[in-house]
Amino acid sequence: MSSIVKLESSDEKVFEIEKDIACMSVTIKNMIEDIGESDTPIPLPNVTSTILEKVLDYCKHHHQHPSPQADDKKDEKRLDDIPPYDRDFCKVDQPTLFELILAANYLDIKPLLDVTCKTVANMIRGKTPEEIRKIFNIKNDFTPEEEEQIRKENEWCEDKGGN
Amino acid sequence: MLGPEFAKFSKQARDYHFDSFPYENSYEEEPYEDHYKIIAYNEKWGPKYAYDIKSQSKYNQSNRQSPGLSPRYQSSQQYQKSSPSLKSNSSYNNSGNNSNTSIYKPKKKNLNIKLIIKNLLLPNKYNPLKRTTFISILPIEVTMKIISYLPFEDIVSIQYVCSDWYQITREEILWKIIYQNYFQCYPNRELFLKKSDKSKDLHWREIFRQQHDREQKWKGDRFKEAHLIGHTGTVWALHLDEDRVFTGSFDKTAKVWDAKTKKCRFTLSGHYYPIQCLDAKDDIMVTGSLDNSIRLWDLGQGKSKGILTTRAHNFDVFCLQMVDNTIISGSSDSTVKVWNIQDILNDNEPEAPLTPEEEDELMDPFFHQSCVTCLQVYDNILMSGGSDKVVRVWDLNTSQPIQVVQGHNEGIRALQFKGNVLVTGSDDMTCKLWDLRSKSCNISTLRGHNGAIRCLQWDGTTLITGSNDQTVRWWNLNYDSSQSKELFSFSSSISCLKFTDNILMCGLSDSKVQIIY
Repeated sequence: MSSIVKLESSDEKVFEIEKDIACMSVTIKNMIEDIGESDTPIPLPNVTSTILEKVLDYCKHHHQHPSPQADDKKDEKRLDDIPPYDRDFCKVDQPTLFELILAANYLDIKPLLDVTCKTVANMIRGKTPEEIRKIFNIKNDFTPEEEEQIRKENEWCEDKGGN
Repeated sequence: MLGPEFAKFSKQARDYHFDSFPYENSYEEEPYEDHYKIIAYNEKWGPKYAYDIKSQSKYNQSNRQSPGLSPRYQSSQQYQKSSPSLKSNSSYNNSGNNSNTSIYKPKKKNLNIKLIIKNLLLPNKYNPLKRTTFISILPIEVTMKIISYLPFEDIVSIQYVCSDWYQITREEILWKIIYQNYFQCYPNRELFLKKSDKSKDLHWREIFRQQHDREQKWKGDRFKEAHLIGHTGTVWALHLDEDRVFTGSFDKTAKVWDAKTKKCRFTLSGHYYPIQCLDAKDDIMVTGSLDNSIRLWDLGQGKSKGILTTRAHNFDVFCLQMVDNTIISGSSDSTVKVWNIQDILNDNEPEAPLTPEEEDELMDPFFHQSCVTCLQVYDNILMSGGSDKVVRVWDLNTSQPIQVVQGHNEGIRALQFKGNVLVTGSDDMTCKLWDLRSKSCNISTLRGHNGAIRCLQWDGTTLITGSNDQTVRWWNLNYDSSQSKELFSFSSSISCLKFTDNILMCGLSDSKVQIIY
């Protein structure tokens, strides 16, 4: 049984969690190594309690169900290899998803960052620009001339897409 | 006897064929993740990465070496020119310059906890409710990570979404990732994800574009054809440089062509039997022939410059390569020999044949068990393939064998290596990929041709092979499977081929040279 560490979210809620699980975050791991174990909660000013709770859920799950070590040589660029738990985990609204990405990035939890980024990539994949704008609620700020400019720049790779 | 000469020549040879990847020396391994992190720093997000000291220093380094990387977009002048009116988001233009602010170095243990907490209590600057384009919320390397998961077609279409997204797709680092996703650079990515001397000033987007263009053109039907007509026998040997094409033929002559006009500049005759191999650089061309001789030609004057008739080999000269001042030749007398060009030039008078004892004294030939059909030299490594089905790896400095690569069922016809990766083509109708560092050595076997492989060229992204089955194939090498596509089919077998970024030439047994561009 490993020791317990305390984490404090930006809204000052304190979470208690096993050290092994917390150390899935490289950032927290480094911090514990640097300051040694103590009772003082580790402040995580960039993560809200809602998000931290989700992140810790994710870490707990993957701590209990370690995924088989992926073959490093394999293509890392696959979008369809998200395990079911992770897929459900990422079924959240967009603000939450992006906050998860930010938290994963800040806490340096690579598997979580991978899976959330893949989820966003899947949202974009195969979509037209108009569809993408709709999904992410983006305003098209190009003038028709600018759009024509880009089209010209892309002539070399566009004709394949047209077919 | 050869020691000092080799040392000299191997030093010069460093820049010859490839950038500088000696076989054993380890090149700089660049972890994949670092691509994202190199550009991690900008004003908004920089302090978050206070832990990432390694990529910090990397970033600074790349900053110094290539001022193009930052400030962003100024490197891609050609794109800026073509789209002057595109708005540039201020957050992009400011980025990259403030990377030196407050770096926390977690070196010592038991640091003052207050200091750490102070470093961590950085203002949380983003507000997801106000910004709706996730690109402006997320740190740039995370956005890159997301985009890099997408297939190339999607990356093209996201440029139209809005100016933020457009700006992101101008990132050079992104194009490097696209390049590696698209072309795979299997089986040694690090080896080929470097700009060559020729392309070092090019944006990765431009490099990608060139190769993508080539693939689309040759695999589709947009290519153009031309021929070099003039030989009267099979074209056995082919070499290209910037503006010239060199061919050697069964008709005993070698020709030099103008690459632009496709006209023959010189016809060089002097060999008594067909020419089997040649190499050329600047004003010197070397030809090896079935008459056992190697000839040197002065291309400035278009005539023979020196001859190695009697001293060359006991049988046909099958393959040769010129490296600076040295010629390495392989022959069906099952030896590979190394010659100094200056010696040949100083010694115009053909001498009486040497006795075998004298010959042994003169040089240390590298022995195969039968005909040496192909060879390549890079740095101090010589690899030679023979009809004895093996590739032998030699150290030229010590003249000692390093390794024997075996696995083909028939003789080897063509080989090319770079770093630890070797590609061979054989009479058994397959090509094989080898990793010379691994124990098992053979990584994969490429099947697809219905005849002996006669020639191949491989540039890290693309392998093109020519075969007796009269087809030229293009191989996509990757981890899961290596598929090939028949590029062209001719009416006679392909005896040699060479390609560059924009042109493919095949020497055919019907005495023509086919040009695809």
